[in-house]
Amino acid sequence: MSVVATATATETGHAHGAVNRPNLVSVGTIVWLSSELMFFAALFAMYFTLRSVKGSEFWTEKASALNVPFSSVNTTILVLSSLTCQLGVFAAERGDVKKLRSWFTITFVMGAIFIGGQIFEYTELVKKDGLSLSSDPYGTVFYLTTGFHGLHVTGGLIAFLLVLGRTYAAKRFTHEQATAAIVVSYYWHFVDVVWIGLFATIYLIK
Amino acid sequence: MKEQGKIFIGFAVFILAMAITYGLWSKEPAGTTALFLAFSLCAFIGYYLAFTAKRVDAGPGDNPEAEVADDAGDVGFFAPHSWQPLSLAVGGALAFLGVIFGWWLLYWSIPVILIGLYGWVFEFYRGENQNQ
Amino acid sequence: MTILNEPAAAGGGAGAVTAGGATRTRKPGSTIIKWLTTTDHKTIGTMYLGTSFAFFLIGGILALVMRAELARPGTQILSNEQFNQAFTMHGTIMLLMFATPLFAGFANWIMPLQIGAPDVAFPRLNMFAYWLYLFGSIIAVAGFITPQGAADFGWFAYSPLSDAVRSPGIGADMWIMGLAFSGFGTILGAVNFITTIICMRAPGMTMFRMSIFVWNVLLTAVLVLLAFPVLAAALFALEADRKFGAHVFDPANGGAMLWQHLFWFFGHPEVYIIALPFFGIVSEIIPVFSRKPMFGYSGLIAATIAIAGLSVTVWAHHMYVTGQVLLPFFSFMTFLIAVPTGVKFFNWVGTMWKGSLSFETPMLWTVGFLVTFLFGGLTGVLLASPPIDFHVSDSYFVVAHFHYVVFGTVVFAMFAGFHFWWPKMTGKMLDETLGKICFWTLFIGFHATFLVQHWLGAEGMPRRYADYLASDGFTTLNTVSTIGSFLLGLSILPFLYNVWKTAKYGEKVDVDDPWGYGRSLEWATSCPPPRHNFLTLPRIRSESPAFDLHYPEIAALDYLENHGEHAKHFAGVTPAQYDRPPLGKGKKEGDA
Repeated sequence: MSVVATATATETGHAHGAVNRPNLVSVGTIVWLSSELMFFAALFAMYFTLRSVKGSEFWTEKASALNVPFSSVNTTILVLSSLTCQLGVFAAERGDVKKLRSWFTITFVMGAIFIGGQIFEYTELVKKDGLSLSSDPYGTVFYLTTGFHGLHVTGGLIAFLLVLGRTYAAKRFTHEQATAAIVVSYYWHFVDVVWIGLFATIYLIK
Repeated sequence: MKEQGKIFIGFAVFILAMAITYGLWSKEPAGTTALFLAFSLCAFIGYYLAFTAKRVDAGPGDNPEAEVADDAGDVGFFAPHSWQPLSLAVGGALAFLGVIFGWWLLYWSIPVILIGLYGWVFEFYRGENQNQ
Repeated sequence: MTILNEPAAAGGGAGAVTAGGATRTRKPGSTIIKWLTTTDHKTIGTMYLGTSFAFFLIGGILALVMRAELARPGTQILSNEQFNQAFTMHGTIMLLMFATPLFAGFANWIMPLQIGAPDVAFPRLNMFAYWLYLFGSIIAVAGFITPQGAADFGWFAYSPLSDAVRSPGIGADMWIMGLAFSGFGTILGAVNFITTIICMRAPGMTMFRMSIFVWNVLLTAVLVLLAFPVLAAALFALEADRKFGAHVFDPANGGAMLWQHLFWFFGHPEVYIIALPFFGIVSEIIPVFSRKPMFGYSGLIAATIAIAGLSVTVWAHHMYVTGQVLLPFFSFMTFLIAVPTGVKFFNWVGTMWKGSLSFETPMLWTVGFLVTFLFGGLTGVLLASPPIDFHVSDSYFVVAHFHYVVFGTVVFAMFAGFHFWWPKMTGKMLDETLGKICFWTLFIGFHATFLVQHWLGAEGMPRRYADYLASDGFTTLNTVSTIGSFLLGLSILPFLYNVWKTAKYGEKVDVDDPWGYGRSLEWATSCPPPRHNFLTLPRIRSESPAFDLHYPEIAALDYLENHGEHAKHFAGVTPAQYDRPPLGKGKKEGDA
């Protein structure tokens, strides 16, 4: 390393560096996402412990309140949004900012529909079945696991908005913005996979 | 990156063996779940690093015969200084206090978080340090 | 390696290019703003070190108040409730606000220097992590100013004691949310360290040339990823129980055991999170003052990896006395983890063996660590055995054990690291005499405090009691322990004086390596280093790049003996002869 240069800002903007380095932001995102796994590990641990202590009869009786068909549709929307998100990433890698914007907007809308569906599901459960965070142990773990997941999805929605905002704020589409799109897609896929795990555990296996 | 990947995969194999042993032997759900997801964590990072190692050049940091000049080029962007971590943390702290003292604190917290988030994301898209 | 895109505003600390720097006057306002907005890993490291040391002092004062209370039978100073708050906050502060961020401080300061990186991977995230730690810790400690006082359920907050019925105070809520908040800071710090170590090593700095300290930072950060998110989720669930009437840790649903499992799944790796980096510090110091390379470098790394792996499988040895854990599994794993720890001892002793030893303050503190930690490790092996643990669990024997382990590691290695890297961090050497006074008072004070507690525990004195009867027969040993603890408290004063005196009158260091035999890369840059750490990087061909740079003849001899051939990268260097060891070019001679 010779001298720390203080070059002017305009020198960035080339899509690829001379050496093909691992991208810091991507590596950091993956490392951080892996730690999120342990966050959900604790939530799953609560779920399984309470289920094993309360017994399967109590559990299936409570779980019968769930609207599985509705939630399956909602899940399908979330899974498909991963697909649209990935299409946006492919567009970003080509440098096609218009396609990126439209795919990410579609993904955002699908994610918002998922969240809306979850809110609808919650209100139904509270009103019709009296299932709430404090009603009984089943309600507690149901709302904690799906609720923390919902918060993660909401965070992802905000991230989509920020990526979209960046594409408009910049003078031209740079490597950095493509990276932002890619790491948000990592996050989105991760949240999606966690939801598949939650869905299988809570709605299918019961 | 290959070696780091191997280390994480080594952790993953060990923890998986422990998770299976512990799960079968104790039948205790909390620790078993945690161990299995600890395995996933290590496998996830390990797989990613091993996969990425194939796609990027072996950097001079992994080359035992590398010369100092081999690392020439753009390392990345390093923020010179920033207010945004502070504002984001103040907003976050207010939000956490809101859980304790009442949700009204969110009226104060959310604007600060939004300012911090906006500043963080667009800090180098506007103003004197613009580089995009 | 060049850093492009560095706006001119960053030039302030760079040393290389500073516009108008010659006539700059000191403005307090701009200095404060510089600290509040910095993204320099060295400044952030200093902030971490300073803040965690301040919390060390607060936690220490709480300990002294407790020892004063326990000096004689009867309650003189604290009520039972206040005593409960004192031991809860003492434990919380020492583990999560002192030892853990101290790791982040040393890692921030030294790790990028040792791998030849210009900064950490995400400078703003680094600063954000510090603020999360600071604000979270302040929230947790601020419980003291609430009407019912701070949290008082012990630092592991066992449920159902920590629920809304049994601990109604708002201080408990602040404890929970504050720790969750600062825990996220720890996680983000770990993400930063891992990414930096994976991606930003200098040319030639392969994984198996990294210094032991960097290895330990890497493995510690992995443990943080495994442990802290579990704590965060458990704390959120506990708060949901308390505030929103959830039933996660309801004893009727098996919540008591669930909390213990989750807490210790965090808590045991946490013990290694605060131990491994400090093992790393002493592993840096011993070779320098033994004038020998680390004995069994790769064996030491393998042992550290083994410890990190095993540490996630031993959590329930804190839960033997619940009678509901798999004793054979956890006992066996706990015995097993003693093996790599023992291997480390052989590495350290083997490095010193036949070395040209000298005992400057860093080395003195390191030897203090070796003695103290060895003792704590041995009682740890005793406690791994369930029959013994059933007898002494929750007694002062356990208190003595973990203070030998944790204090022995964190505090001794912290002072070793402070003395060792002070010239690197500030450009001035700490005073040797004051350092030695501090060491001996602290060493004697520590052992007087905690050695006798082994006997107290074996005689049956339980931990966390505010009082005992004169007829219990605990009085004499408790008095000895209290006297020792005040000596221990006093020993910090020479250190604080030393810091002030060094800042004011300390001699400036004008060489890269004031200790004379530094091995790792941080000794190849100036004291303190420029904004992006290195003006020139040496060529890295071994795990001792600074030593290779300063003593090529000896390094060439070493290579010749180990490999049986001349080193290519020392072409033109004549290996040293045994009888006439050459001195480094222009470097300080050292004391050997």
